[in-house]
Amino acid sequence: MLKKILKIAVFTMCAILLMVLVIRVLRFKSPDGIDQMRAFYENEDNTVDVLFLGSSHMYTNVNTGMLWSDYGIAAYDLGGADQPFWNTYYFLKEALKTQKPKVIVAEIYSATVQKTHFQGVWTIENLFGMKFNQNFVSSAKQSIAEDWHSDYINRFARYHSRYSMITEDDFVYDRQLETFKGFDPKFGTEPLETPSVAHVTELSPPNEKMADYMIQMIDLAKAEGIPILLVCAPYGITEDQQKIFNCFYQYADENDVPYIDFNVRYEEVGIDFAQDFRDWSHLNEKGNAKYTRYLGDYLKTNYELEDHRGDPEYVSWDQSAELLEHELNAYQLTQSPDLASYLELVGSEDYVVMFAARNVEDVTAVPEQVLQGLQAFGLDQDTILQDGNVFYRNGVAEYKHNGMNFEWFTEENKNDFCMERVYIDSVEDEFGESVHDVSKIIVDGKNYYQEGYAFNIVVYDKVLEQVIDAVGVRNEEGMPLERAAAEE
Amino acid sequence: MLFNSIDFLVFFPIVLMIYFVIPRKIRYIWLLIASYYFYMSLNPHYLILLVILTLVTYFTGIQIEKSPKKTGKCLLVICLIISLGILGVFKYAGFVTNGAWNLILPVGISFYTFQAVGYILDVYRGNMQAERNIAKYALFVSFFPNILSGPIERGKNILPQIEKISEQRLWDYDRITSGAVLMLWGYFQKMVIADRVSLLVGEIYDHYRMYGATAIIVATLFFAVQVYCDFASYSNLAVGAARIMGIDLMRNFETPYFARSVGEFWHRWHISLSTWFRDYLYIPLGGNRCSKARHYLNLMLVFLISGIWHGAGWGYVVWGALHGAYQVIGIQTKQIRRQIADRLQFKQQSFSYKLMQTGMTFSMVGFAWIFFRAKTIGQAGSMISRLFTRWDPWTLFDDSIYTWGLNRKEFWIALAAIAVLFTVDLVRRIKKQDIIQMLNTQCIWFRWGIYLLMLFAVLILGHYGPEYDPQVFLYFDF
Repeated sequence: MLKKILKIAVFTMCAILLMVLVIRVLRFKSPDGIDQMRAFYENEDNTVDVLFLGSSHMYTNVNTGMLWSDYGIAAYDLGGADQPFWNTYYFLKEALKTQKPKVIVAEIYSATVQKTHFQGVWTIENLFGMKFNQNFVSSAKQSIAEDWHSDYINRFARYHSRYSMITEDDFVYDRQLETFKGFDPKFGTEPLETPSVAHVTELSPPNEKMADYMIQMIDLAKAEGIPILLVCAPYGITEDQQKIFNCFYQYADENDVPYIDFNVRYEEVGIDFAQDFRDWSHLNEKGNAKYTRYLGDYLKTNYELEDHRGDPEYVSWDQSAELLEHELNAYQLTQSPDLASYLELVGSEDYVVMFAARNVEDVTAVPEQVLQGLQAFGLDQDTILQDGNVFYRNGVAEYKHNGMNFEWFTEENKNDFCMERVYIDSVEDEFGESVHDVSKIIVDGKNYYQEGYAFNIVVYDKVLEQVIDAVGVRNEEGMPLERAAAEE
Repeated sequence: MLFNSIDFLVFFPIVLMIYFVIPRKIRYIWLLIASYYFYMSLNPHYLILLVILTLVTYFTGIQIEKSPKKTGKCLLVICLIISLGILGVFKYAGFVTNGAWNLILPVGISFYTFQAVGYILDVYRGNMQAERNIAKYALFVSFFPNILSGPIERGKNILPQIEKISEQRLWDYDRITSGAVLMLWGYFQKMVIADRVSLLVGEIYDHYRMYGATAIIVATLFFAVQVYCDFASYSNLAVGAARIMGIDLMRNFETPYFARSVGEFWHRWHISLSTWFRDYLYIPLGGNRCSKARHYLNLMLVFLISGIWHGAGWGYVVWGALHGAYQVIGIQTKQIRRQIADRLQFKQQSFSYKLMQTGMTFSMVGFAWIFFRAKTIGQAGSMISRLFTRWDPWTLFDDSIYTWGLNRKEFWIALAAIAVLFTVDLVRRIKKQDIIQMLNTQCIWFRWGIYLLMLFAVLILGHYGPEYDPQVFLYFDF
């Protein structure tokens, strides 16, 4: 009898354990709301000092890494795409279970997006990062019309069919959650026209439910004794939208809630619509730096925020800031205009760089500056002419020239690197051409070599644990850097 | 409610929990309440029909026993007219009036009506005593595991079990696990196999003019799998659920596609229905103890009626007629075929010969399925003619198969699941053992590994959730 109960218990435990693993792999993952909430739970209790709430106007613009590195402020971007305030309210309630921030900063952009009582496209992103608890169920019920409640509340039924779409990310995801502080930066530039809404004073009421939940959030913050600040990030705003925001500013004025309207102070912050935006809605790496600096200064001046740099409890903020910095550097590397400056940037100790020179007939065509740069990595005139290959890491360049057929493996950080060249005998194919040799530069099973270039350079970032750039260089005027077309 | 719905997954454990702890004497009352609730959850109005049928057959049964033969016969006839009449009206009014009078078919009516009619005929013939306890009789008619889609049970099998249920030891680990595993297998058949292959079947059959012979053949093969899995899964879920509650329902399928003749097929397919027709229609008509012509007539009649029982449509009639014809021709040519085989010295005892017979039978059954699945006879005819006019075997090799409703991954998952089905049935055929019994003789880690694999196959690969259309059991339309 006891044996049978034991059997049932053990079997059930095995099933539950497996289920947990299956859920981990199959569940939805997205940096548009799900990752933000999910990673939030990983923070040590009572470490988050500034809690940012709102839509992508918050979590793509507020650089938590910069707030940490430059001010020692432990900030978290807890938001979701186009997040309606009812979802924000429940995110806040969840957050307050484990954190007692010194300041809450709420981005109000969503007020102009949400016109109806229920949301469409981003509902899953704004819900599924929450733990399965009462707050989640309440948030879901507010987000969806009654007939469809069960479609969202029964989460496993929603995502179990992802089995056909799982990738490596689904398995390494949980590791990455620890160092995610909600900030999802955007890179690239789209020049925009500068809006002008400073003169707009009219009011246009927002959706009732949105207003209601913003008020509830403000009341909740007051009840918890936490100061709340409203902000509206700079973006391609229209006059009608400013009229809606004016209602919030009026309410804020009447209720002693401070706010910063960034759309009336572009010059003060230094926002340049020709340079600082990725698209009409989001700042890019230049813009979010300016925006964050202004916020950092403001927060430091107006609130008592401890500088936690060096505090062992805040290690995850250090790691997060480092990752963000590497991401920024990786982007800037890919924007490097020419080979000489490129070579200066890749010398970092955190990079593994692989060079392959092939079929360079005329070394004299290589500019002197570039040649000097290449020498630092172990390639000089002779080695280039010999079709040399270089592994460069930790400041050391390892050179090999192995002729026509070789495979050169090395390992770093549990990742596999391989450079190889296979020479196939001259064969005439049906077009009368002969096939020569095939070179490869392989990192973790993927080949980054591009045919037809004098030089191939592949850069691997040890901190980001991925290849951040792969360029081919032609030995001609200007030595242009060319990259393979991005995969769809 | 459907077996593969959240409602049932909430309903069944609650029913079980209470069932296992309430006083023994009122167990059957609880089951009756649960069964009526189950039926009402689909449509409260149709409960009235169930109650009418129950009362009519209950009182008729008691009266027949009390009355002399002649009166008894009258009562029987009246009862049959009412019961089968209700069934007939709801099922065939639309068919007969060409669509003028279209009534929605109350779910399960074909099944529980036959169950009650079988009971009343048994009582009339003196094969069993009429049930005096109206609650126990009502439970027999409405027992929720098998009310919607069978197996069609006999009073002689169920009523004594209901009688003994108060003495039944429910906390039987082996029986409960056996029932649970059977239900798991049923869910696998329905949600992983049947619902998946139905996508390919639907695509080809609904757009047959765009596809050639190969697609039609593959779709028909898949339909053979679909109708088998859909229907057998329901039976397995019914038998499994009943087993957990201490009731043994009859086996409804016995590896049908391994039959070596169409006659044998009908001993293995929808056994509860074919034995019902045998006992209450075929044998009263004379069965095979009469002239050859009469025998053949009986066969054709039974199978035509069986066809029409499946649905109000000419396709079903043709399907039934085909099966009748197969058997008639089979019997008529048996001698000649044996002589030819002898003359040509076929090794009739060999495995390969038996394999050939199985293949031929499966082909004939498969061919008949075309009429069952196609929307009209015209469509069936068109599809069959395309088998000869649109010959395109290359579509098996040029990746076309992944455009027929299931993409590459789904297609191979379907094939893998069909392979599992084949293995389970093969074990049953060869070892005469259910997979559950076979697993019980293996090491615990192997057995548990299989159970967990099946459970997660259903959870991950099953067709449920907002991404899929709800797939109702096929036989609900019958």
